[in-house]
Amino acid sequence: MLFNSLSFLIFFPVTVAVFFILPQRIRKYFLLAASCYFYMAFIPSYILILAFTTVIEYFSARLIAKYNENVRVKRLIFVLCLVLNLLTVGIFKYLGFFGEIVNFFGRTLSLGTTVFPSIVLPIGISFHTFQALGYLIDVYRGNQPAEKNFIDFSLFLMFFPQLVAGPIERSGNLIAQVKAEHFLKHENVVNGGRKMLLGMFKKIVIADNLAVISDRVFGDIENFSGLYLLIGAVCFAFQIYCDFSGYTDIAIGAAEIMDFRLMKNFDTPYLSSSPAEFWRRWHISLSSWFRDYVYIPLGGNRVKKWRWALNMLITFALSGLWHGAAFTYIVWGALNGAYVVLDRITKKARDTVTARINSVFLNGAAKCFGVLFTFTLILISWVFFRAESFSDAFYIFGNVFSRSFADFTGITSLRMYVSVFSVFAIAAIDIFPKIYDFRKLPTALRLSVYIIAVVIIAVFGAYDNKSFIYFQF
Amino acid sequence: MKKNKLIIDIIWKAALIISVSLTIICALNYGMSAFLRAETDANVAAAKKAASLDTELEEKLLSSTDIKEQNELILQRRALALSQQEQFYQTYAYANDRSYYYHYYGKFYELYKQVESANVLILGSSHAVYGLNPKYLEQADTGDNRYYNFALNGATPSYYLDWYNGPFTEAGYQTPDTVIFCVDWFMFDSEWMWRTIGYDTPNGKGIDVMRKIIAADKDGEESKEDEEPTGESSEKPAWYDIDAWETYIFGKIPLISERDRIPEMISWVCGGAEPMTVELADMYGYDKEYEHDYFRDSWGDVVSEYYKGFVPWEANSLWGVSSRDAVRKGYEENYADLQTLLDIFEAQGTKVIFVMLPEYIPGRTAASFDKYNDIITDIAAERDIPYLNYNTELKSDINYNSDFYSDWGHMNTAGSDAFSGIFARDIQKYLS
Repeated sequence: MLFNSLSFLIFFPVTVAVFFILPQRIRKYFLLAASCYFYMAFIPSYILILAFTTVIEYFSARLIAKYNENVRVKRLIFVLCLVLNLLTVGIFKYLGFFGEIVNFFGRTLSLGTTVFPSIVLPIGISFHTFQALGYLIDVYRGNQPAEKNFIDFSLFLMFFPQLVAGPIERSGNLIAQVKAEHFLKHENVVNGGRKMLLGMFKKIVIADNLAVISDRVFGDIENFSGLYLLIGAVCFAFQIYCDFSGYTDIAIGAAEIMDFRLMKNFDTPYLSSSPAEFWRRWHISLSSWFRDYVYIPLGGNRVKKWRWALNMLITFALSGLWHGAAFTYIVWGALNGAYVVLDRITKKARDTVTARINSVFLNGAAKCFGVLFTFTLILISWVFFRAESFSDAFYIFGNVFSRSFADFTGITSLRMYVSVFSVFAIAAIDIFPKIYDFRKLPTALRLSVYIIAVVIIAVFGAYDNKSFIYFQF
Repeated sequence: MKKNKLIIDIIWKAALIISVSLTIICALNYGMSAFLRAETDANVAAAKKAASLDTELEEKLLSSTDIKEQNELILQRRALALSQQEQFYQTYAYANDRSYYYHYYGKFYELYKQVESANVLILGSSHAVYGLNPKYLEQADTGDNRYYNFALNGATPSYYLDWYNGPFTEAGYQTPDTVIFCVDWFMFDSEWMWRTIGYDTPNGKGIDVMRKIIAADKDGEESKEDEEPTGESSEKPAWYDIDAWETYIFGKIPLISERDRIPEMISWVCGGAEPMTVELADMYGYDKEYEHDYFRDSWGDVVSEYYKGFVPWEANSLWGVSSRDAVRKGYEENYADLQTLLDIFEAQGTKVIFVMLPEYIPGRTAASFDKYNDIITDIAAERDIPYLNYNTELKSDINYNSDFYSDWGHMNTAGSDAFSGIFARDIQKYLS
């Protein structure tokens, strides 16, 4: 079920209430059952895929631990399990993409084409698989003991707040919490509730209203040119941020209410002053996963410069592929990889220049320029991410400085105003906590903010676009 | 004890937030309901006034023995009916933001009031709304057929089945002799073609407003003050279907379904603008040829050229190549509903003619055109329905002249004039 649905508004309080009423020793069984119910609300039969992955991981890890001394057997089990996991996600997610490539060569070489079946993608398969793979790799490396309790392990993989769109948790963090006792704490409820409210606001008010504009621009591209293409791209940049970070906020808040701590996934990424910094702040759980399980095993930065650059590009290209089965995603990933490589190459020179600036004002201006420049680079990459094809992406680049025209027929001015307000709201949401601790405000003022947020969500929220962008990954 | 205090503290704060929020939402919702009611009441009152005038004219007509006077009275009644229709849809045209196009109201007005009482109906999507002008059909007509363009943006065969079985039958519109069904190769795609009967039913939309006006006409009294908004679905869903309950609840809350009108509502509540109504035209200053007041609304619809459901569209955008292609979502349902609708027409003796309006062929790159066109061709062949396809056998220079189009699929004023003339000539042999 979706977080922004009536079903979840009923499911969650009931789950929390029952969770804390039950004795500690049986809470995890209930939580596992609730997580299964949560997932089955999408497509019930797909719980079998989740169960299959869970069983495979559990027994593979146990076998790896058992044959720890026998390197060949251990490696064989690891590779088999890895292949099974990748095969599962490959069939559901990449079969169509593979088919397009095969048919492209078939047409080019006049060998004919083949029809590949179209399979409905299980929600969250990429997240779930990566979380499972992370655990497997940690066990293989000896960094994590194989979990013996099947229920604990299942709950680690299927904990409902982060089940379908992350954060991608590490076994070292979450398994220990699954085994621990949990208590109803005032600060957890208040902080978690605040995060959930913030997440709903970001998703329903900001992301879904911006989506109306960005979907119109990207879906009907030939009716837009000039400034309006830029507006569409900017709307998408903030839409995807608020959509995904909003979901994460809800997930983290929901977990916190139940006395679980999930990892932070976003840290005001659009305030980054370099691409490298951006990727330390955006989708942190995925970035760190690729760093630890792809980039470092490839050699990381402990190799020659050209090889390091290649490692970076490969890692980011794979990250792009993780996001979607299309070449536009791969290009998006590789482009960001190129940004990070260039950032690193020019870092020394930039640091030298900024070190010579003695003025606070000029330092501030340099930082602002860095933030704007980074945002521009990321915005360019988002065009590839969102565009329906390469030709659409290049149409945008080729026409963004042309004469401006647009066709926003059907989009009301109220929605435009809400969208503009949204951009300022994002800035306020991200910047205010850095200046002042919201919790220090008087109770009456805090309660008023919550009430206003609830009213705005109810009245101005866009209910015609309910799914989260990252559900498709 | 400490735990109980904690729980109580959490509960009362949550209850406080929820209750105050709900109070504010209910207050805003009450304001929106009152605003919408006032708007509808104003239209109902104007409709009653027009009905009273019409009654006077009818009595004069019945008592008159002078042919010249009778003709004058007939013209006056017709002008009154047209001005009522104009007033009705112009009422909803004033706000630039309305996503519910004014010509939707005009069509439901015709359905329930039967001003034209057409025996030849034009059905289709926006391509037909903007492309097929009944004026040319009338000029070319050799019988005494009366035409009306009931095409609606985003309409599919499924929509028209619900429309025909629903408001069309409810309104008591006469069984058509002929239906000109403007087919589209993408009409089976429910993702692209978005219209459902639920879109036209909620509070303030065409069907709802007309039902209230008809009810007021029949009862001879104001619309009931405590009448609940009809909402998107008047039937309560099953108790376990939470998603359906969500749709049902949102449909019952005008503040959410009509939130685009919140600025107008606030103006009205603060004693600013009254709900817009157009004063009934001075009956003694009418023109024999009724003319519209506005030229073009903010959507690009050339209102001054509105004629019996048709309105040309002049888009202020550069059209070009459309990469959009039809998907299969909703195909089976739309296909089945089209067959059902054709069965109904066949059973009641209504002749059906398929026509696919010309598109700008260089601007249409859809790979599925041929596939879906073949399906439509097969249906026409099975049922012996004439199929005039102006994108294949009957394509002409119109299909390659960008001056005739606002975008790849929608003709502009010049295009609709050119095509309607040709079509009016071509269709004569199929009309009785």
